[in-house]
Amino acid sequence: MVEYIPLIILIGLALFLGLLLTNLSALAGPLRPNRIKYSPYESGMDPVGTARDRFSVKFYLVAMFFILFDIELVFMYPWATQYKQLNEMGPFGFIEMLVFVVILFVGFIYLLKKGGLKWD
Amino acid sequence: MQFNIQDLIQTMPLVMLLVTGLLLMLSDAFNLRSLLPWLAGLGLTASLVLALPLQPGDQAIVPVYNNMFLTGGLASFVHIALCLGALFSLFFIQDFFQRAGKVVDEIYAILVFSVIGMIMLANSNDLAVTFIGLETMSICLYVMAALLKTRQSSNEAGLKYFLLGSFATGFLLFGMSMLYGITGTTQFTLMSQTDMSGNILFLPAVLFILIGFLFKVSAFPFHNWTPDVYQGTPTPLAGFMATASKTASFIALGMFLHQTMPVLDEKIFWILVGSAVISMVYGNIVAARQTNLKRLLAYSSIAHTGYVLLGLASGKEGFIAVIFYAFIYTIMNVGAFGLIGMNEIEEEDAEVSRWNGIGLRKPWFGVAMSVFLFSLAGIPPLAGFMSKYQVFFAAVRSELYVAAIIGVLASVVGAYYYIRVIVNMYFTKSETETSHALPSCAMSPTIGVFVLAALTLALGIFPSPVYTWIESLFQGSGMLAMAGF
Amino acid sequence: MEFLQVNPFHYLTVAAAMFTIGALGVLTRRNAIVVFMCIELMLNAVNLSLVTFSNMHNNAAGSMFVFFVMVIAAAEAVVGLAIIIALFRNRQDVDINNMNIFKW
Repeated sequence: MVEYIPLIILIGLALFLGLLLTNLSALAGPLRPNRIKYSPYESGMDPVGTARDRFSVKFYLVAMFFILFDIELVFMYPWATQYKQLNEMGPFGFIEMLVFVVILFVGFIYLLKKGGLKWD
Repeated sequence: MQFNIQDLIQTMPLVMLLVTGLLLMLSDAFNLRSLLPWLAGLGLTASLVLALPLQPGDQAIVPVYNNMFLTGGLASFVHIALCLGALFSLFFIQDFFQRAGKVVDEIYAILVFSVIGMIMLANSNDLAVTFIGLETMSICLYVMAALLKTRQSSNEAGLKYFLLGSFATGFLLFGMSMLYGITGTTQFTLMSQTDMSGNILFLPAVLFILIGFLFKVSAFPFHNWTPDVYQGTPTPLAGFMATASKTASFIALGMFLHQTMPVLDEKIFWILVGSAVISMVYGNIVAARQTNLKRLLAYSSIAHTGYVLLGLASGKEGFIAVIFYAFIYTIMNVGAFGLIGMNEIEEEDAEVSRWNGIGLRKPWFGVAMSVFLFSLAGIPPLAGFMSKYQVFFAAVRSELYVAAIIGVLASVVGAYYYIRVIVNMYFTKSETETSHALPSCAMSPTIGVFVLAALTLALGIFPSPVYTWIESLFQGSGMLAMAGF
Repeated sequence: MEFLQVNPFHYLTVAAAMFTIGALGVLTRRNAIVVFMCIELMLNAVNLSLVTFSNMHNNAAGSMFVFFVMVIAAAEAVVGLAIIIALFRNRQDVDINNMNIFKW
């Protein structure tokens, strides 16, 4: 049981800090409420209504680009864990990753030039 | 894990292709449209020249990058054959899309990247490289199928190919993981050192891998996507799809089977032969009742897959014949699809009736089409006859008499529908006046047709240089000798 | 607590079950996107079995394979969704039962 004491302290601390911060802003901040401010997501998403709405296809494009560039970075994990050993054999490891990043960068230039990231 | 500069030099042809692909993407991004076909052609040619095994030491296969990839010797020949397939298709692409009224500049980069995938697939010595190559190729082919995005037929072809293709890939991958589980390695040559035949997972593993490969080559139980996809795909690209991707998959399948298994398992052998025989019979019979030329060629490609699979099942001579066959098939089928593409504008323009009387209106067009169709039918003295002969000869040498006889009979049935098209071209009057404007007589596809027709004729009359070249490369490759040949 | 011990066999069973669920989903579902999700499930089942085998054999080849499978699955997803969107724009429908332009 003794080994759980730090955990309990942590939970207590987290609770205290959370309550403090939420209430502090309510106490100290200026209160000028309006309808939009009271909606759960202030960014503009209406939380009430049909969930089967269609949303703009542009979201899909951005999501695709995100997936691609995000997942390509998975190759950097094994590289990073082995970097020390790679460095012992000279600049090979560094150059290799440079080549990889350059290839990704060409893809990025293509994406930019084709207007993939333009919102309108 | 050691980096070796020699490895990089050995893979220079592949690096060349990669650089070409990246340059194509950049020039597309910066709107250098007129440059694209030339750049693609130049890059493919340069890579092909780099791969030529000129020095006597190049005869042997050299494994590079910790035995993951093969270069030199036979692998170089495969590289050259695949680059040639892409180059031949390149003749027809620009003209086709111009007449279809679509600007698709990205096709050149996609073409080059798909060739990279094919080469990786065919020359790999490691399950991971096989998978990466296969998927690089397939993803590019999915894009090619769906390239005309405003046409519903192209969308549908793309979706069908994509869903079924990735489904098959899932099976292939599961088989690979099982094989890795049995042997604890992903390298083909290391696998052959483990005795796998007693393992309970062995047969399912190889079966799953076979499902993936048989799908990619559209052999019998997994052939249904072929006609739909070829019909919807832009025609010159369908030609590329039908030839180069199959060449790569066949060679990869052959290398995989021969390298991992010192002796081909009895059950797997019979599965190959059974699939081959049914593909030949089914493809030829169904092709005979097609009215759309692209579908006809798709079913005929199922039949050709059957012949090649028969070659794969008949040992070393069979494998040489397979490579020879794939090379010849690339030449004649790219030509045939290219010609169909030159004679169509709208999507449903590949009907056989459209070709009525074309042999009299445009003599050179009719002659070229006849050469390709006769060659596909396997009529001497054209190249198609020689390749078919080699495959059946190899089958007979490995005592597959019944299968070889069925194959010969099936190809006799097959000759009927090819010749029916030729009869239509010369002895049936054209009903519509509008088709007189066609076919296209643009410069580059015309040159392409002439080159391909000349090659079909030349390789039919003098097949021995290419055949003996493949044979000598085969003898020179030490790796295959190790793996039971 | 003996039966709570997890061994590689359990992982492989889960992987095989996931693969089967995915494959059955591909065969029975009619929405192109759902079919595609089922294919992804199959690929992830393979990843699980690869990692398990990698652990069993105590070498990294399988784990590295998983990275490649993941990246390629992402690339495939991008191309596949692009195809599905193009189709949807033309026909307002991604039901694969209605894909019947081609007939023989």
